[in-house]
Order: sequence, then structure tokens, then C-alpha cells
Amino acid sequence: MADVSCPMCATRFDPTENPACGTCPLGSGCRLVCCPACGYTTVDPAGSKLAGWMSRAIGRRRQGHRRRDRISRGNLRNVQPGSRVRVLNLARLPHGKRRRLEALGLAVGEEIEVLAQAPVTVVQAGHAQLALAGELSCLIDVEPEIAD
Amino acid sequence: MATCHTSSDSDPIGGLSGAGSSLLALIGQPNVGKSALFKRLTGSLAEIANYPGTTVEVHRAPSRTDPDLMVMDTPGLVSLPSISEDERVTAQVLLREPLRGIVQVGDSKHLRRTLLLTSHLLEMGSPVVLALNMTDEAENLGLVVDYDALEHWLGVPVVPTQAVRGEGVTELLAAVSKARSPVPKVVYPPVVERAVRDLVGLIPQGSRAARALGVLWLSQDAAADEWLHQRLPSEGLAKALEIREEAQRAFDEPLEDVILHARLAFADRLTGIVCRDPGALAIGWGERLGRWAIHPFWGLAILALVMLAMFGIVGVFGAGMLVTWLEGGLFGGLINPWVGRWIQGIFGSGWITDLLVGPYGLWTMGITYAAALILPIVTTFFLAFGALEDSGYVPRLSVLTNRWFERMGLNGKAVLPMVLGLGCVTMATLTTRILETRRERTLAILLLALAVPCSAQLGVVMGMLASVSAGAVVVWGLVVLGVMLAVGWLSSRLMPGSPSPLMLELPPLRLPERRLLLAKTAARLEWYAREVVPLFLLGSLVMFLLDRSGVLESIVRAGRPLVVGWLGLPPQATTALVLGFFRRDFGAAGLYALQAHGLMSPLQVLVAMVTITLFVPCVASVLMIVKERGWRTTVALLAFIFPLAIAVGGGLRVILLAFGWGA
Repeated sequence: MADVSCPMCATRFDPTENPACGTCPLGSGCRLVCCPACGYTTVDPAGSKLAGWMSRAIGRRRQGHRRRDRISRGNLRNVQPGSRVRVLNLARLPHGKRRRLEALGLAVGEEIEVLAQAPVTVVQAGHAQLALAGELSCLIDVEPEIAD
Repeated sequence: MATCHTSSDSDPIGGLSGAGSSLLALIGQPNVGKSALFKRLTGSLAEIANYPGTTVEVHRAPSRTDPDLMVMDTPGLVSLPSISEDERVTAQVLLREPLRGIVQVGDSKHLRRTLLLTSHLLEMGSPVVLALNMTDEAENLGLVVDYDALEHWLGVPVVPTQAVRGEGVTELLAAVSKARSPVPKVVYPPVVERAVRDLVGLIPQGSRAARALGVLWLSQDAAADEWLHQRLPSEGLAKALEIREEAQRAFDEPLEDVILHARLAFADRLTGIVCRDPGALAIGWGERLGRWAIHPFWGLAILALVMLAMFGIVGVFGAGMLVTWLEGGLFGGLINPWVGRWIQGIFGSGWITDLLVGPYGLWTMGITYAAALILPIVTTFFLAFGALEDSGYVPRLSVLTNRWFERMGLNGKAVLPMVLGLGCVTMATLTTRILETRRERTLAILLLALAVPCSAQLGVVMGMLASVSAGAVVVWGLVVLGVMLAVGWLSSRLMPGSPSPLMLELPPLRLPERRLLLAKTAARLEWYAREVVPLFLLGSLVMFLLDRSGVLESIVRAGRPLVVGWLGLPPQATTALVLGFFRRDFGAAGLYALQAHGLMSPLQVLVAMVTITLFVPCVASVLMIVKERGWRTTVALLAFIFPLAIAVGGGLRVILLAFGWGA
């Protein structure tokens, strides 16, 4: 389950185990979550499609620690645009697609730059730009570039 | 149109010195400029555009400098084993045709992947020349390639070219005449090498591509598989299978991966030796625009601008200004009355005069529709469309629209046949070959035949709707798009299978080359005139005969409940719908004439345009669908499309009347 970082006190918590809901007069069913440390109300991007889309659109250019958090999750789909990563493993991809990607320059050990994540994942591999549907990019394991 | 010759009567590989052969194959990865080079070498224009998949079948034409030398333009091949139908066509050319030589066209920007394909071609046994194309783009990226060193390491001539500008073509031809059969360069692990040696022993003596066939058999390539199944006796085939299985036992990973990795290591090593790459440079305007074009929000804004520009050029300028001037002024005011008087002076007022200049006359209907209505529209469309496809925008549109196509059981790649369909549905039907599964190809053909209007028809539709109101254009667009989405969604659920996920390379955005754009427009117009004018004349002749024999009157009477009652159109519109069976744009042109004579209200124009857009595709498209998918599928498609078009048209009328539109 995705975790949320409180914008007020930076405490990280799992929105599904948020204990504050029981005391809230609104009860359950809203798309908001409250920080267990400071009580600040924030949105769970995974809970609302619209909120998720907005925060991705706005947060695309913001980099820093949040990007590194996302990268550490390991698959290409979760990497923020603008980041550079190294390809670790392609073995989970369908066979034909993997061979094709390797031929086009997206091979294990290569450094690539993520240019976009919506509507599909777009990466720069060498001088080539490749567009990959999310269901393929989530099968590519990556690690953050060391010299980031 | 060229047909695909992938086999020949005599044994093409047995015998096989190739000395008597005069075939030169242009082989290369998608979108590297093979077709541009083909044009330079032969003077004949294959389709050229800035997206992968422009060529889906083999084109042949004699060389300009040596008429005995046949040059073949082939579909793009990234590497072997082949994974799509068009790649398989190229693999079969390599394995089956008695080639005098191979010109590999490579993109200088992507040397590593070019060399990956070179490693295959060096094993084919035919002389190879490497044309490194688009050297200007590589230089702009700061790449420095040592061509002499590359030539030394590969053992084949290497020629830098810029095919679009014709640079390096003379040097390339000189190199072709001197090229010799090369030595394969990739050394595989000993187990694989031993297996290849054993397989070569099984292949009939004298086959030039024996090593390639052995390696491809181990990689489970479909074309090599077919070749060996046809040529080897059953015990030979069993032995070949045994060799493959034994070699596989030595590795944990599949053999084809072992082979691919050996090739990639070769390509990596050689790229490192001969190419100096400064890495990423500052982002230019093309790059920036390319990124905006796939942005979820700005991408849509750019798409709207592109569509607006197309509408301005084709709808307002072509279908509006040019047609009014040509049809109303030049033909209606000057040429037609003069031709009418002239014919009447010669033949008097008999049936010959009617046949030539009567209401359904070959001149008054056939030639006037073709020259005054359709020609200005397709000319402006082909210019605008050519600029769009040369710019590299279309693959970005695939990315932007991927999600919509997924809902219709396809992926964003299907945008290519759809956009090409706006040029000509017949050609676009052929382009569905770039889609990966049979299911996707059938779905794309259904949507093309149903809801994608071709350039001529689109132009007439735009011209007619523009004269009604902007709202009419929006309603027409929404209805056609809605029908396409609904039919796509529904049929993707009825047909078993799921869409294959999108994987696509985005070429750089480029400014279209002016000379190439004009030449391409001219070639397309020539092809169009050859197809359209005879069909228009045939259509006029059939209409004339139907009219003279009184059958047309019966058809109009029979169609009355449907055309007048259900669609609410004037009775004369039946004639236009009958014309629509020949070509949808011919039908649309008939409706245009009705509107020009003030016989149709805005509501009727809108209903008629929606109906004719969704109407059955033209004769040529139907024949192409038969060629690609067979009679049964074609008849099923038509039996679905015709009633649907009428139903949607009438339904729209009922809804619009209920809302008081056009009242």
C-alpha cells in the first residue's frame, strides 16, 4: 500500500491504517486522510483519481527527496519525470517486448531519463525516445542513478 | 501498387552464386530513410514519412543508373527474429530472394542498433554495403563517427548519406558495384557455434545464407522455420530440432537471448571504438515541442491547433474558396456551358449528348466532380497531411490517444492507420499490418471502414458543414467519434483477446523538407487521379444507364421511405447515396451539388453528412479488405456498416428535431 507524507510535519503514514477516522464526525468514505501525528488533513493520491491526477500534474517538476522515495520503490512506472535511473532487470517483461527494447537501446545496465509518465511512460535511452504503456514500464526494475 | 513477392518459382537459394541475379535489397530499421534512398536510387516514389511503418510491403523499381538492377524497398526490421507481419516480409526477402547485394540503411544517431542489424546481415552471405543515413542529425547531436575505422572493422564499405537531400548516393552506387561477400563478425559461445556448424551441415549445399539460417533456427525465427520446414526432409528436420534442444540445455536463459546478447556485445564494443558521443546536449525547440505534444493537457491543446490548421487549409481554403472558384466560376460559368454547346453542335440533342453533358453525363458529372470538386480538396489535404506526417507528429499522437484506443481494444499504434485513413482508407487498410495481432488488425479495419472519412470525402464534408455553422461541424465530429468509440468498445468486447500494450519509438520532430513534400503530393495526386477519375466515369456511366432504363426512378421510389421518410432528405439525395456505393466522396459530391442548388436545409445537410461519412467504404477499399481479411469478413463488415449508417443518420435527425435544431 502506498504511504503518504504529511505536508505539515513530514510524518509518513499508511492512509489505510489511519486511526483518526474514528474520531472524525464525517465518518468514513471521504477521500481525505489525517496525519496521526499532527492531525493535519491531506489527500491520499491513491484514494481519489482526480486528486492523483492533479498532484501528478502539479508535482511533475518538483524534485528532491520525494522523487528519491518514489524511485526506491524500484519499477520504472513509479519514477518521477525528470529523473535519471539505471535499468536493473527486464526479465518480467513479455519475451518479444524485452528483446525489442534491448535492441532499441533499453538494456540492463543502461542509464535512461524518464521524460513523462502520462499518458504513458516516455524515456530517453541514448538518443532514442521510447514510449511504453504503464503495464510494460511497471515490469521494468530500475535503481536511481548514483550521481544524482 | 507493388505487390509483395516474397517467394520465387525457382529455388532462389540453391544454386546461388547470385552472379546472375540483379536484385538489390534496401534493408534497415524502421524510419531510417530507406524509402527516401529508394526514391534517390530509382526515381520512383514509395511512400515516405517520419514515422515507423510507412512501408508495409516490398516495392521494386529499376535503378536509375543501371536499368538491369532491380532495387527493393522493404519494411523496417529492427532485428531478427521478426515479431510482426511486416518484419517477417523483410526476413523472407533476406532468406529467399537471390540478392546480388544488400544495402543496409542505418540511422547515424543510433549506431549501436544499426550495428545490431549489420551483425545479422553479415551472416546472410550476400555482399553488404552500409549506408549511414541522416548524418546531419547525428552531427547536430555532436556525434563523431570514424567511417574508415568502421569500414575496417566490419569489412564492408560504409558510406555516409543524407538520402532526403541526395548526398552520398553516387558514392553509395560506386560502393555497391565493388562490394564483396563479407565475413560474419559475431562469435557466439562455443556450444552455439558448434550447433550452428552442425545445422549448416544439414542445409542444402550452396545455400549462401546457411549460417544465418542456422543462427535464426536456434533463435526460433518464423521465416527460418518456414524455410527449413520446406527444404529439409523429415529426418533432417528432426535432427535440426535435436541440435536446437541440445544447445538449449547448456544455458538457463533461452537460446535466442544468448544469441541476442552476443550480438549486442559486438554492437556495443564496435560503437565504443568508432563513435564519440558527447552525451545529452541542450534541449532545442523541436525537442521541447515534441515533449509538449505528448503532455496530457498541452498535447490536447496542440492537437486542437493542428486540427484547426487542417480545417483552415482543407475546409476553408480548399473546399471553400478553391472549390467555389473552380466549380461555380470556372466550370459552372465558363467551361461546362461551352462544352455543352460544343457537344450539342456536333451530336444534336440525342442520347450521346446526354451521355456526355446530360445531368449524369461523363463530363458534367464525372469530370466536373473529379476536377472541380475533389481535386482542389485532395491537393490541399495532401499538402497539409504530408507536412504533418513528415514532421514526426503522428507517433506522438499515438502516445496521446493510447488510452482511447485501449478502450476500443487497440493500442495507440492504431492511430497511424486511422490518420492515414484520413488520406485514403484503401492504403490505410494495408497499414494495419503494423498492428501486432490478428484481432487488432480486424478491429482497426472495421473502424477504418466505418468511421474514418477519406481526404476527398472529408474535404467535401468540411466544406458543406462549414457553410452551415461551426455547431454543425462539432455535432458531426461528436457523432462520428461517438459511433467509432461505441462500435470499437462493443466489438472489442465481443472479440476474444486483449490489446497488446503500446511500445513505440518517437522520432525527432523535423521541419518537413519542401521538395520532398511537393514531390510526395504530386505522386499522391497522380495515383489518386488514376484511381478516382475512372471510377467517377464508371459511376457516371452506371448512373446514366440506370437513368435511361428507368431503374434509377424505381430505386429513388424504393428508397423514398428510407431517404425521405427516415432520413428526411430530399428525394434526389437517393441518387447521391447510390453514388456513395462507388466512392463515399462521389456520394458526398452529389450532396454538395444538391446543397449548392439550395435544395437542402442545414438539418438535412448535417444528417446527410453523418450518413455518408458512416456509409460503406469505396470499391477500392472493399477490394483491399477482401485481400487482407477475406470475403467472409468483408461481407460481414458491410452487412453491419450499411444499416448502421442509415440508423445513426435517422436517429440523429429525430434527436435534432426533438431539440429544435435547424427548425
